[in-house]
Amino acid sequence: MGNCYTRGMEMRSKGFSYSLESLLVIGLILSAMIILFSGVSPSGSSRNLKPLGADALQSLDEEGILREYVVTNQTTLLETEISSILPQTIDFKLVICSESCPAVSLPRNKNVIANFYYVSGTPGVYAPYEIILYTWEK
Amino acid sequence: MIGKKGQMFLIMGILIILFLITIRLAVQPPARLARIDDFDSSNIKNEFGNVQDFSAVNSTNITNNLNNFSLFLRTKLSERNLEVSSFYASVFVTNASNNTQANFTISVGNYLRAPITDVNITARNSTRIYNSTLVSRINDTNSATVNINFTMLGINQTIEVVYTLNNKTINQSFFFATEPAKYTISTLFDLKFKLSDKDVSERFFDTSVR
Repeated sequence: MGNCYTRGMEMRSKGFSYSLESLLVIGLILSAMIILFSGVSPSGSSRNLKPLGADALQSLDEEGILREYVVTNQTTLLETEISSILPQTIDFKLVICSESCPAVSLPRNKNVIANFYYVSGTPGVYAPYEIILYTWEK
Repeated sequence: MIGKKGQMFLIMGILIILFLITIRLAVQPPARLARIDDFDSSNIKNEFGNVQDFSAVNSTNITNNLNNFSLFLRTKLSERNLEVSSFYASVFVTNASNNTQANFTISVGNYLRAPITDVNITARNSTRIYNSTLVSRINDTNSATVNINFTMLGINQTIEVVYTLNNKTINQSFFFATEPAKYTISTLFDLKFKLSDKDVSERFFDTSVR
């Protein structure tokens, strides 16, 4: 009788530990899925990229450089100007679109922020462009 | 065997996690474009003014450029899931000397995503009023132009454009100053942006003198 009671208790204790272990494993799998496949929400530091990109484009426009280089298709010169403005910890890609946008490859596993800017041309030249500045932390 | 049952759960769990990691590494996701919705309309507002200013430099057809830019923006913003509706009323005045006949060319551009009807235009200064019906209907993405010969009195003029949009009467009037013997271009812009969480309106006025 005493043996039966002890064995019953042992079985119950084992059952409880199996349930606990299976719950632990389920929890681990769910956590792994969340970490591996979760969507992107900009981190605090990535959020700062937005005003940095906007300021870079606006200051170049105020200097008259932005629209001049865009309309005359001097993308490399414009990229040099942008890299001199942005902090060295930030990497970027510049895309200039007229009617359509060229294909762009962006880094994977990085929070990429896009800044959009529109120009209609230069004095005397009507030439509308969309400028997209993608920024991310190195 | 029974004692190892719990460990089997853990081993299976680790194997599943390793499998998930393998899938994650094998299938590279697209670049992660973080979405920050702080749309700033000031660039677009300034650029509409620039279309007029830059076109005035070498007398390019301002109406054509305004129409083209309105469509360009509509297309580009729709690619970002943003919606823009725009309206403009532009007046070109030549030979704006006091007490002389001046030629007013008034263009109205409708990019409001619906037709505007019964478009009436009034040009007036302190004593003279000229009324004109421009057109009965201007469809979306279209513009219409009318010429008015108007005797100038002083340099300050008012243009009033009244139209019906979706059964509502809308009055767009603006005041502008001409300069003697100059070519003056003044445009009233009314832009409305529909964002995911709010609507933004920009109503402004730009003048170029050449």
